[in-house]
Amino acid sequence: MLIILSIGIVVAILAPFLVGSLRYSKNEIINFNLNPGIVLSLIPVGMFIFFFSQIPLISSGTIPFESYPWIESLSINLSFRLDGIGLLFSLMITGIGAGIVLYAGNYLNTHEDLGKFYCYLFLFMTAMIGVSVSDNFFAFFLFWELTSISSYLLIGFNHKEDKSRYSALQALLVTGGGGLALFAGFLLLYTTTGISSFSELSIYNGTLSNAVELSAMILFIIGISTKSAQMPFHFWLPAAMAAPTPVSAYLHSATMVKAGVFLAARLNPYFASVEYWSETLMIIGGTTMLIAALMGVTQTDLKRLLAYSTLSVLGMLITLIGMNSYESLTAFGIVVAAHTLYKATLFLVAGSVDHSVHTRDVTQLGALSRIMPFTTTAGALAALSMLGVIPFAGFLAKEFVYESATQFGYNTVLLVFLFFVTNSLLGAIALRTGIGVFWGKKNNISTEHAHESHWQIVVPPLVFGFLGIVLGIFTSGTTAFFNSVSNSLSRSTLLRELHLWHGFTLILLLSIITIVASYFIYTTISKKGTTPLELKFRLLPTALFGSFIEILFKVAGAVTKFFQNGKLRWYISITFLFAIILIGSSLPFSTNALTFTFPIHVTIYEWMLTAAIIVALVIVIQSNSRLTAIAAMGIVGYAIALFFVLYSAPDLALTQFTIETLTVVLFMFAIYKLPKNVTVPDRNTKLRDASIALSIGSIVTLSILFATGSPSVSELEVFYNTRSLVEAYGRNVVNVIIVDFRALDTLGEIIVLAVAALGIVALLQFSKGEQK
Amino acid sequence: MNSLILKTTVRFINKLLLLFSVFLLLRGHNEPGGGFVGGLVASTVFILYTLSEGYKEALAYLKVSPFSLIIVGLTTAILSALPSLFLGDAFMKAIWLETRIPIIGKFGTPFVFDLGVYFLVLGITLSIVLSLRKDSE
Repeated sequence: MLIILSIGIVVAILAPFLVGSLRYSKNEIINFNLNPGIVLSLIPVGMFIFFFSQIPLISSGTIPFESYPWIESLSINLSFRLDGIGLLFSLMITGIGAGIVLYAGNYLNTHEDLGKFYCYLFLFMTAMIGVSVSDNFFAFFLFWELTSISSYLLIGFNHKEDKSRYSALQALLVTGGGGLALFAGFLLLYTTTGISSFSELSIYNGTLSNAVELSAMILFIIGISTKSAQMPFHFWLPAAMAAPTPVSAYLHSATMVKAGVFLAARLNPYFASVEYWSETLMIIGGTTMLIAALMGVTQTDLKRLLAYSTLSVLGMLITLIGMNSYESLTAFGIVVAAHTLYKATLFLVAGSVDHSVHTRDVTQLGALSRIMPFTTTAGALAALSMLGVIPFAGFLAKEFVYESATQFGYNTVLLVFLFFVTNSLLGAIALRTGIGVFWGKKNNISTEHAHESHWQIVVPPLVFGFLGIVLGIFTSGTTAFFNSVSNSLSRSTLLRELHLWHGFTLILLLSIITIVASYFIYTTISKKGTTPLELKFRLLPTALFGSFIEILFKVAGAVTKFFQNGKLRWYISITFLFAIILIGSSLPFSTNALTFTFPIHVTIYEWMLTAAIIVALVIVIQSNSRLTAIAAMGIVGYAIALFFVLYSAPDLALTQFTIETLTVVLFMFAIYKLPKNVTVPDRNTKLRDASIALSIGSIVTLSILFATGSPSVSELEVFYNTRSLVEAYGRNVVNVIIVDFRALDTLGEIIVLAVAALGIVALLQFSKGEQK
Repeated sequence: MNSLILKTTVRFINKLLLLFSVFLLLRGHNEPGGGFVGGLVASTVFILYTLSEGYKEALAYLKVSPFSLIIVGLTTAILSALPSLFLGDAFMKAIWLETRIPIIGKFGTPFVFDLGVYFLVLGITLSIVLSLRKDSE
């Protein structure tokens, strides 16, 4: 599996070059225009074939496992495990991915950033496969975050539009914030139990304290709800429809948003026994599926209709995991598969219509079946599956959902009712998006230029649509596979025969009534028209998010303005003040003794140097001219260098002399840019600056006194003195420390220096440009 | 600055200072000196030249841009850290040649590192000083 992931990353890196070379090297001899989408779609197809060939193995109960050490001391390994649910997701990601790559090759054919698009798309695909197969918590988290980042890039793909950028940022902040919660949850589990993988967790038998269990559960549920856009974090998903349609089809219906659901499924074997886990999931999922379906059915934009129905199905999946019953876990796998097939199709169909007619407003669209026969077929297939017509996969999914509701121990009536309403609304959405657009009455829209789309746009949805029937008809053949999926969700082994036809039961009756209700809702809406319901419901979370971002920016702006007001004096004061507070507060706790030896013996040279320093300092403070002050500061520096000479530190003295000289020269050069005379500060400013200066001086002096009192100082001295010549072949200990013993520090320092120099030069250039 | 005394002095002292900076670099491992101070002394050569002859002349005297000196220095320093990796040792572990080389003496990766520091310091000082000077001329 590491190979698959590596291939994905490599393709992501190479994709832009491929697109570039196919686009700009017009081969005159062959005169054959190869679309990059065709070439690149071979990669996911290959991956799909690999995963498909694993089906018999996984169905038989074997779970391939591979592990590569990474940071073993922290239990961070790249360990991969392909179990039923992982395989189901991998199949979806690569299968739908292949279609999307092909589709986008034509859909974005003329877009200048097609290369970047494929780069992001393959990054995302790799990340998503990583999420599906990772066993180690931290590897999982890595891929999880990578999906957020690549999704950010894809939503904001049309980065010249404000709306795209805002939606992308919103999605990143919500899912990224959830990612942090997830990470905290993993860390909590790891530090309290030492567990670092899902497989260990699913068979963990030890007990956790209630507090740990509850906090981990809350953190995980935040991660799940943000990623899978459950209420109240749902608002980013409809906004994410600003992305190009292939992205919406891939990320925001078929794969990424299911990552949260996937996480819930991964955690379920252990957390099902944790108090409130199942209940919380059911409440969150149930609320989301109902409200999202209600909000969705009233939409008029094709993509938004589909986005809300996706939200609703995600809620349904969360509810099914929460129910945690024999039937509901079986239903889970089938709903995931059926939904992916029909929803990806509907999105692609919506894109095809948009591409051809240039509108996505369902109240405008109609009677396209003659103009776009293939798109129509695909749309109809998907809609029938979503509606739950026999023999489509959607029918099977709905049967299982109803079955799990009717077999559920308590609140049966409520659950059945909830599922019934949701399914009816979803059916109505199916009719509006997949049927109404093509057979509904033609409205005031010009279809003069409308045309059937390119084969690259038509084939993927057609294939996915047909697969919906295939999956439905060959249900019994998939029994073993779907059992392996549901077995990954639970500790107990579930075996269940799948059949399309269950006989004339109550459930079948429910299914039929649902379809009738859907049709009724659809005709009512078509006749009377609607205003999108979302405004009332959407208002709160979106507005809250908006004001949160606003406040964040304001606070950040205020903090920056306070600390970085552009005055060097202020910067120095702030730096010194923090140093005083930090070092000063730690000094009283120092374990070293203050070393004072009285009487201090002071030679005549030292008195002279001290006197010179004091005189120079008085000049610096009193002077009204910068030039005088700088020269006087130079005297202070030279005197200190002489101190180094007196204390036999020739290396330091040498460096200090050169530095002082250069500093004065630098100041001289810089002085041209400054006003000639210093503005005389008032009394209060003087007092403030004096007290800061005196404090930092005393703090530095004190800390030196404390430091020299440490016994380790003399140990270090002995260490370096004895090793320097023997091990590093140098008699100059200072230099040996710099270039050998602590060379890594020096390397870091010189890198910082280089960056600082770049910054200084850039600033100087900048200010020059501004003056012009 | 147009001073005949300075110009004449600089002309004579420049080569000496440059030689002195190399001397500091080479003796660094055993006596006071090293790449850092060597680079600083070398930069004074060009700063003096800037003062006596002017910014453009100094840049011509230097022949390469200060930025390329920074790049050369940083690359040299980083390259000196790599050989140990190929020998299976830790990053930056010092490797010394057995035989002594004339003038340089004992030769090893720390010397290469110091050489990198020398060029980097020279490049940094000059890029700052020269870009400050550029404006005032």
